Amino acid sequence: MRATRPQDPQHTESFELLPWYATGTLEPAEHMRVEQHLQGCIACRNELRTIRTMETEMTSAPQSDPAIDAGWSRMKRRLHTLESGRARVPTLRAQVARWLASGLWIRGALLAQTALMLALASYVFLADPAPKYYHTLGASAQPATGRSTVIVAFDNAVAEGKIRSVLRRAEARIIDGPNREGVYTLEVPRERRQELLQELRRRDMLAKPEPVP
Amino acid sequence: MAPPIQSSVRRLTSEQRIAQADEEMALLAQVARKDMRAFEALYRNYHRRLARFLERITRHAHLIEEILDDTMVAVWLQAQTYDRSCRVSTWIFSIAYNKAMKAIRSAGRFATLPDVDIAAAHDGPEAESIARETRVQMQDLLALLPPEQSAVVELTYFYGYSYAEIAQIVDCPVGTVKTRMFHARRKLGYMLARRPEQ
Repeated sequence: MRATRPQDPQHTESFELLPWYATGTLEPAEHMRVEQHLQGCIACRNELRTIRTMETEMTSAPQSDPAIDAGWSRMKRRLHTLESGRARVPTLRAQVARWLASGLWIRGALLAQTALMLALASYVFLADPAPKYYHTLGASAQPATGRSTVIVAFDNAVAEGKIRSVLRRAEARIIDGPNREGVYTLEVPRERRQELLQELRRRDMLAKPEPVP
Repeated sequence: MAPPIQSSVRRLTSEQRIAQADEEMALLAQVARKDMRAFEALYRNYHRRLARFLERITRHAHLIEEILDDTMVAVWLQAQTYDRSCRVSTWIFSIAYNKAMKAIRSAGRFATLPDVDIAAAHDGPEAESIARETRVQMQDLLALLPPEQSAVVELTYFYGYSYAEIAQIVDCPVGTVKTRMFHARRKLGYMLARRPEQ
């Protein structure tokens, strides 16, 4: 299958348009040009026959049963879910329109204004003015009453489970860290601080050199 | 002298097409007002047509149902955006085509005859063996085309769309539609010519 006279623009156009000529969907002027060309072009007439074969086979092929009823039931369920979801969450525009129409917006605005004033007064008179600074591990010693802090870095080779076990026995807990250097701040009952450090050193759990507390 | 042109296609006359287009436009206007009965009518009108179209270009049963449902949900949700610049069917097929191509791209598992040099394609063992099948049907040959080409063939021959309408549906220039059809014709024509008489 080949356009036999590629140099002829009329032939090229007609050859290209043959499928739509065959289905009768060309504009009248195009249809007429193709029809005139067909009178004198054997190649296009042969091609039109092939097109007719394709067209006939396509339109006569049996169609599978697409199960419309089952499809429609599925679609109804989906739309129901979709619409009930949309109904539960009205659009912002709808909510605003409903609120304005209700006439409650003035009362709402007054309430909001009062709440805002109270919030500002609370902030000015009651808020703790002390700023919360960022603290480093070395300066973080704010333990609970009766407890003290320990600054440590664990040896990387020691398993986490073993460290956890030692800390648990000494009633210690990690309250900060690790920082970029791998340093932790531990909190421990004051009377057990030395015991914890000794145990960590005895088991070679601390990195060397130990961080300065 | 040219042979007499006879159409064996069961296609609507232009008057019937106009009447159908008007009817569908009215239905879609009702759908835009969330009329479920109108939507059911539209759904039933399009189910078979879309199922066939999607079957031809996706070739996967589970995708057909999913894309068809997604298309009709989009019709339900976006009916008010239809601007009457094309037929309702063109608009709906355009939605279906877009969804199908997205699904095909994301699935990425469709073996088709490569859209390469036609001589090379002709020599391909797959094309050759299919062409020599005695009971091969047109839809089997169509399955060898890339989905973009089989969509153009299907929309032209089975659904009777003009090339301008197809360009709207597949959202590309009319020249591209003609080119896709040209390549599809070469492949189909080659294989049809080598098919033994049945």
